[in-house]
Amino acid sequence: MISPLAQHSLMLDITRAGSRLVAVGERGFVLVSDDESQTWRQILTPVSVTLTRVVFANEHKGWAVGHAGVILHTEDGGLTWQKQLDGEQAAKIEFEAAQQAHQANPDEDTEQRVIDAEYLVADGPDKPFLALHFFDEHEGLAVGAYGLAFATSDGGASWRPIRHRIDNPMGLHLYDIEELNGAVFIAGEQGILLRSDRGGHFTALESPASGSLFGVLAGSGNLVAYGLRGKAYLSEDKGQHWRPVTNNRSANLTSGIRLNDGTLLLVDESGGILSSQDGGQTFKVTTLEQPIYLSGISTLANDQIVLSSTRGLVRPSSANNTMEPNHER
Amino acid sequence: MNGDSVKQASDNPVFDERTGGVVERLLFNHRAIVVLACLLISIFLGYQAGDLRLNAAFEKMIPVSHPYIQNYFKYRNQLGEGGNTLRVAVHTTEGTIYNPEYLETVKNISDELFLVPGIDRPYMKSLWTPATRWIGVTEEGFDGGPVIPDDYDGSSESIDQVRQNVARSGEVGHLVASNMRSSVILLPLQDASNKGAAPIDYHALSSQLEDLRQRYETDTIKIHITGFAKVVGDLIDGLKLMQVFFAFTFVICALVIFWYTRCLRSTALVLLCSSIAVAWLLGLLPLLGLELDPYSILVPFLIFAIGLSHGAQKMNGIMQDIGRGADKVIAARLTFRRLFLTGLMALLADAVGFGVLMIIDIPVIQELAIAATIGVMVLIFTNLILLPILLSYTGVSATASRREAERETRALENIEHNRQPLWSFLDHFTQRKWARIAVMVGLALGVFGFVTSFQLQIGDLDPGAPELRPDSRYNQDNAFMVSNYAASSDKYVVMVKAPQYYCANYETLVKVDALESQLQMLPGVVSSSSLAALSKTAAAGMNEGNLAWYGIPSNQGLLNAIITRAPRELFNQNCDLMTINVFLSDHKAETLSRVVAAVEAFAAEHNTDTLQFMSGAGNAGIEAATNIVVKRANVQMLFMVYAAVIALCFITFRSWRAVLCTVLPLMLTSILCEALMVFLGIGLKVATLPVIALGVGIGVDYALYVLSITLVHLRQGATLSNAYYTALLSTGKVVVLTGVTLGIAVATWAFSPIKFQADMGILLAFMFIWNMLGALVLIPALANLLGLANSLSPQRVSDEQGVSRFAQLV
Repeated sequence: MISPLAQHSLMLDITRAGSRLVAVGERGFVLVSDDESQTWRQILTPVSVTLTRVVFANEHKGWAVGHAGVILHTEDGGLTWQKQLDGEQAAKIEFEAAQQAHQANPDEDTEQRVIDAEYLVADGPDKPFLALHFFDEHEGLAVGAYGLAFATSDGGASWRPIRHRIDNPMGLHLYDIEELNGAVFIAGEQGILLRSDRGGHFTALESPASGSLFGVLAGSGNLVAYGLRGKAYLSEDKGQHWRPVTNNRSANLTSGIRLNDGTLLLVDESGGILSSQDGGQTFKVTTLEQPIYLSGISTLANDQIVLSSTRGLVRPSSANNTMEPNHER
Repeated sequence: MNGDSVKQASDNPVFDERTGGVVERLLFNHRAIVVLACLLISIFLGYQAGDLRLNAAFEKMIPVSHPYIQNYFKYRNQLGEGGNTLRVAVHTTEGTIYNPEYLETVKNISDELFLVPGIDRPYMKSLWTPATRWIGVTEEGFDGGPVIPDDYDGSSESIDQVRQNVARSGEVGHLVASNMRSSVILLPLQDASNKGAAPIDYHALSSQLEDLRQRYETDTIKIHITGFAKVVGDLIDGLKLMQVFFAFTFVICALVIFWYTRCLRSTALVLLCSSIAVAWLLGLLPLLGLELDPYSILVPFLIFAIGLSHGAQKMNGIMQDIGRGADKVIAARLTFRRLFLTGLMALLADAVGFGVLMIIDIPVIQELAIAATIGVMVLIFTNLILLPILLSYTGVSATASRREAERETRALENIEHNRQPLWSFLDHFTQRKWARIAVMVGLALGVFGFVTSFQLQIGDLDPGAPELRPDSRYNQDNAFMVSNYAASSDKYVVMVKAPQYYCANYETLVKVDALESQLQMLPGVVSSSSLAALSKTAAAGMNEGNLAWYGIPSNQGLLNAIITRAPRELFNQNCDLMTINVFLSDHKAETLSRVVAAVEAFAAEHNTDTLQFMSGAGNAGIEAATNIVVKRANVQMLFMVYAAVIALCFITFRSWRAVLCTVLPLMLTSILCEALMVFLGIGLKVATLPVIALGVGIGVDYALYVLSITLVHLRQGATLSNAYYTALLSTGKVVVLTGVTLGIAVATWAFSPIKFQADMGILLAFMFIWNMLGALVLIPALANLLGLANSLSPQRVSDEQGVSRFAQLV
């Protein structure tokens, strides 16, 4: 659906595909910009559900995930999109895989897996994918609500369920995937934190957070996990130990990025931008004039950034930023 | 006109009181009784006029039987916030709203407004009302509360708390401006149709708001108020100014008539009788349970002006008769005999022209039609009967009538018709060559006007309240609201009817969302809200505020949980009616008809027995219905008004050629009036719809007065040139006088603070003056080209006295 309102609609993620910027959001909207966010145009997609995340393995090959278990793929830098998976297919794949596993190894675990898969089929495609990560143009992971988790080794031509390889017995929502020096981290609901070496089993880490974590960001050797009510935690030992990072704002932190100069940036749900020059030890806060929900960050060629938000894509101009604390009178 | 009877009258010093029609004898042989009766009626109705109220009810300005309005009426009690909501924005010019003094001011204003009568208090909303809440998620689960916390104490910590609460309340752009410099107090008004609710006194309400504005505005606090009720309040204030216009009109008319007659006595009498007509009208309205609204307030003007026109004709006739030597009583009777029927026919034509407006299904227009029809009926008594009787007592000044008589004799003796430049110029049009030119020019103008009239826009073209001028306080306030708040002042509401408890059904919501997304794509649609949109936001809210969850949840349990927290304006108690609120950038016909078409198309495709999508509530929905009705009514109205005029003309003239001579110039004026509206950027709307009917009604007067005298002389065997020239000298010159006077009188409305009165004034002035020109130029020209003179066989003249056979009946 091409809509003149797409550019002012909710956009949930933004990323670079070479020289192009690609953003995704509600109603299956995909926007692209070839002029560093000066102008945007809408790209038609085969779905109309909310798209939550987008990543590119290189300047041509990219994937976007969203509600109803949808995974989309592009081969041309985001100009055309094909559906690779939807929730019904995903449930079917999960069910078949569970049955095979049960036949190969009929024990209590595999039986439970079949029962869970039956529920998944019965629920219908009601679960969104919430995060996506590709290691290269072949290997990738997609995770989402209620522990939804799939992996591919062929660029998404086929997806296989990996839920049974994740220590998530409660079926918590999984919100973000991050890679640091060969280790893969997943953060999620109720502060769940998981780690795996590439392709292996995801084991739960001892989490410092009681509230949900919406993201993990890798610095140079450090990890910052962040989420509900502005809480953020720093780990300098690949997730073994965490300590809280000071943030005097209580707005949900929603997304993060590491800039080329090593600066870490986090954004929150009411226009706050937190930046750290010291690998996440301390953060400095600036706020947009309008307290809008920020959902994603990408870099521009001129070392500036562009943000996805509830009102489309915004570029914070330094003039509009006011330093905290700002008690206007 | 009949010179013979005048000569008889002046030759015979004893006038036979038994001559004349039944009505004439009845009236003139009991003159004192008639005068006394009129005096008593005047006292009674003048007293009644004290009860007349000024008001404008929302329900009266809308087409009550259009299906959209029927839908709206059917469900409006369940719609929560209806179309009638006041918005009071409190704006600080220094800093932001996060300031204890500012919040205190808002609290005080909010508290005061809560007590204003007419406010639907449960639905009132401001930063301080308990209904204004934020919802957030903590590690423990849901958290929420009023935006201004219960323990608010004005400290900087409290203020910070408010700042945070506002950010997560979702009210930015709705209750709080996105630049944080103002916040709104929403005041839904009680519906008069609700049992027990008294009708809202808009003027009192508006005065209270103005008083509030006066008291709270400072150098740094500004108050902006918008909403239908404020528009009406401002309109009623504007109406008070109408008294000034009325005085102005009165003076202009007095001067013009005095300049023409040079007789103080008769000028005063004509003005008196017309004023009596207005007094009777104003007395009759409350007796009939009618009020004056911003539309019908123009009727007294019209009645006064029409009264003057007929009064001037009577006075002119009596003056000429007295000038010829007749006694004042005889002069009055002769004039009555000569012109009563023509006057009656003309007033009947007016009444029909106004009465036709009754078919338009909008109460304000119907009430205007009733008032105007009553008004012209009253004129029959005051200006066709009372005026000649009063003149029969007073007579006219001797010098004035002598001057008049000399002027007439000179003119009639002037066979070449070249003595008076204006009359001799008009006389040219009875010649074939000039007639052709006039008709060709008329035809060219007609074609040009007709082509242009296709660009005529339906509806209001100006932003804000089109009733008021673009630079009025109200429209400035409105511009403030539109530029600072996401929701515009133009709201179109689509109603969605589902089975009971199905408002939160997933399939239903998906359809609602589908329509909403189609509507959002339309040019002119700024934003929208619905339960579907809300469920998406709420889905995110229930997942810790994470917008990655933004989408309609397909989980029924979750949906049910969502609607328990949803604001009531999106669905009703039974959970079987939802609304899609569509906010528009303007209310131009183009924008509205796009929305109407989109909703109709969607409804045609998706409506089932259990799920129906219906237009339309909200001010824009009502306006859309109004536009549809106005567009259709325009065609109907023109058709009927012309059918009526043609019928009346045929009864009067008994000649289809004469009917064509009358009607074609009127049609030209109607077409050119539409073209003028295109050039002036005036849309066809409730206010301008009646103009053409009013214009035709009054325009036909001119034609009747000129043509009836011309026909009498033609039937007596005069040439067209002579017959027309004689008509010009008797009634024709009064037509000029009237056209100019009426034109000037209505043109003064152009200075009204109320935009549509100004529009009506300009258009009516154009119609009055152009109709006059049409009557004087095109009637002789068409008479020539259609061979009117030869078509009348002398045998058909059954009597030398009357205008037609009907005269004897009267």
